[in-house]
Amino acid sequence: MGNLQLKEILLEIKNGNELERERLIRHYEPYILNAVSHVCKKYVTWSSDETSIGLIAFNRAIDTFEFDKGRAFLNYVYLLIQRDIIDYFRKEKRHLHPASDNYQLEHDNAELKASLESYQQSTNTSALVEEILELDQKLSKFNISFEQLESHSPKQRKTRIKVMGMAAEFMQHVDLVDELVNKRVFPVTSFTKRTGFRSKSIERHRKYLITIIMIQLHPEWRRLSTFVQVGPGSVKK
Amino acid sequence: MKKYTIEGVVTKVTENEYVLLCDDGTFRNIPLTEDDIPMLGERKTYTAKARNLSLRIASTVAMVAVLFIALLAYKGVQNHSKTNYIAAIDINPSLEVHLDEDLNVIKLLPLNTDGKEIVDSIESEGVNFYRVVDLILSQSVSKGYLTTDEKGSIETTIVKITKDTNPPLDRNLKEVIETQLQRKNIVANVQVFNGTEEFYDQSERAGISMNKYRHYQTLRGQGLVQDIEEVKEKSIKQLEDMENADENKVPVEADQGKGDSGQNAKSNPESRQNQSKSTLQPKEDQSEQKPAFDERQEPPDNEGRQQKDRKPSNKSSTPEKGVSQNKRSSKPPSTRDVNENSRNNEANQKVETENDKTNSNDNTKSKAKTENSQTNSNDNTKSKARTENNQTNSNDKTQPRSETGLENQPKSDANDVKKKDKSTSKDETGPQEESINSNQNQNGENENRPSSPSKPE
Repeated sequence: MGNLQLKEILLEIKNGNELERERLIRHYEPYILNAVSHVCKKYVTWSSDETSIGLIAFNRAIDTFEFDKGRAFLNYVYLLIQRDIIDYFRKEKRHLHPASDNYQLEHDNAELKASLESYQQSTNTSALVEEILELDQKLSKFNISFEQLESHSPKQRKTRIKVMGMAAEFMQHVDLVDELVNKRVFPVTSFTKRTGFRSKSIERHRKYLITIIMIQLHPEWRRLSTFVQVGPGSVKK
Repeated sequence: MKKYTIEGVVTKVTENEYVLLCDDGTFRNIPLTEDDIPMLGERKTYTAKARNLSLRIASTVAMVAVLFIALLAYKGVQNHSKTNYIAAIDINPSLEVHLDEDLNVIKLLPLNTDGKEIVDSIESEGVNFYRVVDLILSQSVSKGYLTTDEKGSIETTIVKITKDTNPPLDRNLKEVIETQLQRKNIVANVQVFNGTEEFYDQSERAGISMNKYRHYQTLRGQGLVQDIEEVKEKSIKQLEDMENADENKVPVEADQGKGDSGQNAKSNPESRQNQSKSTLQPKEDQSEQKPAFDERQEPPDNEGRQQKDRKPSNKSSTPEKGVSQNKRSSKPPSTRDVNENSRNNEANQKVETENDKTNSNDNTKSKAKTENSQTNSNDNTKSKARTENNQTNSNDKTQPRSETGLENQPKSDANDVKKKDKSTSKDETGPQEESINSNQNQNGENENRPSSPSKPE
């Protein structure tokens, strides 16, 4: 989701388009969850109290975000979530566990500093997070989640290069790419017939291959694309 | 320990792990630590511990070693179980010995019941063949298959299974057997044959040893034997005797000869009673020993009676009256003699015609004829002396005999009751039986006999 796109959506939401708001929230769900977990320093699910606080904070962020201030949207969201959760911890002081208590005391004074820090640090990452979120959405259509990809990733450098080559080869065939995107099924047979790759090796790395292809189909994900480039740059130690 | 680092961007955080998109484009799942939840898009460096290299090498080496050992063991087992020779040894215990190329015994198989006894008493695995032959011989001596009193007969056949090995030295084997026999003071005819694998297969299919199969073939050729089972439990000596006897016989009498050989078997030590009986009285219950005693007792009695007519007793032992009693008792059909007569009549008939044959079993045919008269005369005196005893014995024997002469049983019982009064004591029966055994067991020992039966009296 580019900045311009986001600006339009936010404008629509401010004009009262609740559907767009809903869509935006859905899109950033993983991020909200992750941010809450990060602030709480523990893994949270949608059933936790902290998550709803995070969600409310996110909703407020949509309403109050101003592009003119020159901030990344995600950083603003994170700031609001963090602040609200710390407030929540403060209110619930008697129930608080010591870890978050300490955290909050420490960070009360340094809040501004910390938020500034996180802003500077994450100006780069917020774009990356956007890309990751979008990729995650695309992959979920193929029933692929990131945690599955480890077992489908090529372990050896040789195979990795080979799979990258496979993806590049696949990109050459526009009709196959269309088939993949529309039917959400990897056309193994027609691909093997055309290229001579063995269907077994495709099947082994199928999910990873789809991921690579999805990233390559979106050159606008500049940061993610650097991870899957074929060439000397891609093989770092 | 080697460490390697995984560097990448966090793409997803789940409950237990987070997913790193590494710089090389692969994905790695990294376990979550307690209070550290990474942010999405955060750059993370994970330091993983590589497996200990030396451990890895060690495990590989260990695995290779295990494989190697397994291979060696497998080869060893294969080598070990490879049978190069098969030797069949027959005395009466029929044994089959499987040998490897160094003539060590791989397994020792019994081929009949006597053989099983021998095998059970010998520890043969991995022992040198000659040593095992030694053991077999000494075992068969101690179990009475070979005795110092009679000439035994031992046959061995050696079959070479593999092509590349030399045939075992049968002369060596013969020497080993003969020296062992000499040590035990046993005279036996030792023969060593070389067989072919084909022949072994044939005999194996027939379920008997190669030596017996050879005899079976000749006997069958002579029309003496129809069924292989008839050969199985007989000693080599018996088989030889059968063959020899047959040479002098008209083939018509062959069947009788069969039964006869069975009778002759009784003349062997007690251990062979069972097998001999099996051929003699196939209808009767073999488990009962007493009929066997009876039978053994009877034929000589009858012979004695028959010969008595010809020549009066040459022994002037006391109970002459007994003889007449015995004679008389044989006439009325009611006494136990009838039972036996009915059964033994066949035997008697045979005895007359085949007296020589009976004795020929002991390989000393010519001698036997001359001795026959002696035997019979001995039996004469004995029978005379023992008529009473016989009757007392018959007490004990009526029961087992009841199988053969059922109608006569009650009468004979009554008889026995009467005669019981006559019978002196049980002590007499004991020694008598013994003496009978000894008499009939060893025809060659006739000279000793006159003294033995007279003793109890």
